[in-house]
Amino acid sequence: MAASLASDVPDKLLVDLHVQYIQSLDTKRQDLAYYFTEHLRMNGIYWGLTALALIGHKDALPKDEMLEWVMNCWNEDVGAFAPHPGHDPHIHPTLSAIQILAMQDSLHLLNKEKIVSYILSLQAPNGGFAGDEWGEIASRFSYCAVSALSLLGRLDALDLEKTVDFLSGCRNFDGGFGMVPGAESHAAYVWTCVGALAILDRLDLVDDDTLCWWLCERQLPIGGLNGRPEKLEDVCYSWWALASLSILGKSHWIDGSKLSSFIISAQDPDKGGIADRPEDMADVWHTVFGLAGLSLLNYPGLAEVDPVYCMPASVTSKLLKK
Amino acid sequence: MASASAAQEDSYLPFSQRPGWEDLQPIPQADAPNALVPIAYTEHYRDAMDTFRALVAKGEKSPRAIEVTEQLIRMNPGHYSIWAYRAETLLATNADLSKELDLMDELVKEHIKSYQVWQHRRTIVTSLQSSTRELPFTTRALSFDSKNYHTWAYRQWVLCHFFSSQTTPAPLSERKATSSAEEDGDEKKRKSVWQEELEYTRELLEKDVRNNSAWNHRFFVVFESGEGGGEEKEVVEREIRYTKTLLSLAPNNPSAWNYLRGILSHSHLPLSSLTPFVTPLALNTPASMPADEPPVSDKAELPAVGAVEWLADAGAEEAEKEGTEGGREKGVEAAALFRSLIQFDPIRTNYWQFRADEVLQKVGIAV
Ligand SMILES: [Zn+2]
Repeated sequence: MAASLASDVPDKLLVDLHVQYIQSLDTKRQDLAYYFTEHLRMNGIYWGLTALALIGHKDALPKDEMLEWVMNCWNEDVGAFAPHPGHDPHIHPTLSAIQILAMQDSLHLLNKEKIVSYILSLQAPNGGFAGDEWGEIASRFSYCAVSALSLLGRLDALDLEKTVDFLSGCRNFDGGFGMVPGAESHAAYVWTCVGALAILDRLDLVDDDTLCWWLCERQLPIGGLNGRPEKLEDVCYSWWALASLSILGKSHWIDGSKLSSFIISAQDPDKGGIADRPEDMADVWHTVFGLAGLSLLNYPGLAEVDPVYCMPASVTSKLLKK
Repeated sequence: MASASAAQEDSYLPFSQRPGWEDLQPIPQADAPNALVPIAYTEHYRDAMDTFRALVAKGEKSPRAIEVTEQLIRMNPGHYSIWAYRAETLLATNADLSKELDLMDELVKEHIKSYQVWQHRRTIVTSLQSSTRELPFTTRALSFDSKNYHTWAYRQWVLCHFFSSQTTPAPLSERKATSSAEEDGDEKKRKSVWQEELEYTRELLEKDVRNNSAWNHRFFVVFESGEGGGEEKEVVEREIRYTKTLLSLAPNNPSAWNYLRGILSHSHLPLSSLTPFVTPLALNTPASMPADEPPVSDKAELPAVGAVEWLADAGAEEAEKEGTEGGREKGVEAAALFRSLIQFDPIRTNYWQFRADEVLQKVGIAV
């Protein structure tokens, strides 16, 4: 019982517990939350699989079952994936499905050309992308489009100029990026814009001195990073900011050892998984971004993560022949 | 727990047993989970989902679809297929959209972080072509959560969609016949909306001077919307003066320093143009603040890291301009200022060290 005392803050990576935690996620079907997160299920599988791959246990989730489930979400008429059978297709689960198949070495299952035309159909006249036919436009969907096309080897199909115009329009006076032009800088949108620009080889559009300083300012004395000024530190924001710094070659500007202690202390010492901050409830989102952050910090025992694609670097380097 | 859910169960009448719904055969989910302990709420949700699937299968857009989707989004606002079907149904049946806005006013309180609540509102308001309720509505939402990202993005959308001079006017066929006097009135109204917006950011910053969302919005209104009002030079001077005043009251405010830097870089002014104001805040010499600058508050905590950093950056900027010839002295000074920040802000030690080394290298001093 001593192990469950709240004062027992973990001080090392709890690999086995994280494996068990991720395996347990699909067995919670009697929970109401299971229904209410259906619209995130495809993303959830990508998060879980990436987390497992980073700790060297990719096979802890059965591959064939996973692929079958993913392909059950494919909508042939639209040319995209739904987040769950019975839901409408959307660009975000479509990217997650591609990422899952890429990690499972199964991209051949895809009807690539259908996906390419679906993605292109979502581009708005201002160069931004909508998430689905309902038209919410946000820079995170630009990231989904660019990342997906890149993984499919079809960036050539994209109207680069328009795409890049929208992304650079999301840049603010403080060097950061927001959801749409005019919207406040936010670490998650910084990552989606910088990641997309990195894939498009247009990092020249980033004011990197101002941006990296803004990202660096996100670190709080406790070691964790926040997503905007005056907000609380959070494990997932650590990833968005750190990965952006890493893409721009400035991850050494923050205090890496304090950040890794912060992430390690946010692990659940009993059931595994990582929370947004110590003592909160773990979830799969913070688990993958916590592990990915630790990987960028070269924490021992973790596979190298690709800061642009948020997948194991071994997968992206093979696929993109980097 | 068990008895409470049993009681709820008793009073719940599944859709298929309600009058007016008998014709619908609910469609269970293909891979229905094998719930071991279904709680009452789950049953209600499942029943409504099965009914929803039956309506979608028939393509039925009716008051029934509006009713069942309302029950579902109240329980699970993240399910965007339900929102989409609801929006289609509302538009297809010419439903009373102002009633829909009443519902959205209510739901946003509980689900302020749901993307769908905001996107749905946008669909409804676009179709209504009326913005009357929207700015007061976002003001109310921001009064509970003054930094909510969705609310701000929505407010900016409303401003651009309905009040920007840059948006393309509605097609002639959709425009009401207006006399030129009315048009002048509309233009006045449009401009006053942006004036009030500036005043709104001032009020928010008066309540919380560190509200970064309000600073961002101010920059948007003044410099990005094309509606900043007045001559560019006067506007820039006004904004610099305004920010200095707030910094002299609370100098440890990164958002305000960033705003000030934003103005200067927008107007291509060097950082050193504000050295007379910044120096007393950096060196903890408030009494030496020049008379034409805003006086430093007694409560200001000095030295302010943002001010020291500003002086260091200004020095580095100058040193770089003068290069290895004349910049040495300034470079050494700037490097010392950067290093001095390590004690105030130790978590960014690597950054301050990097900046110190960088400026020395630029003026030709080996490190
Ligand atoms: Zn988080």
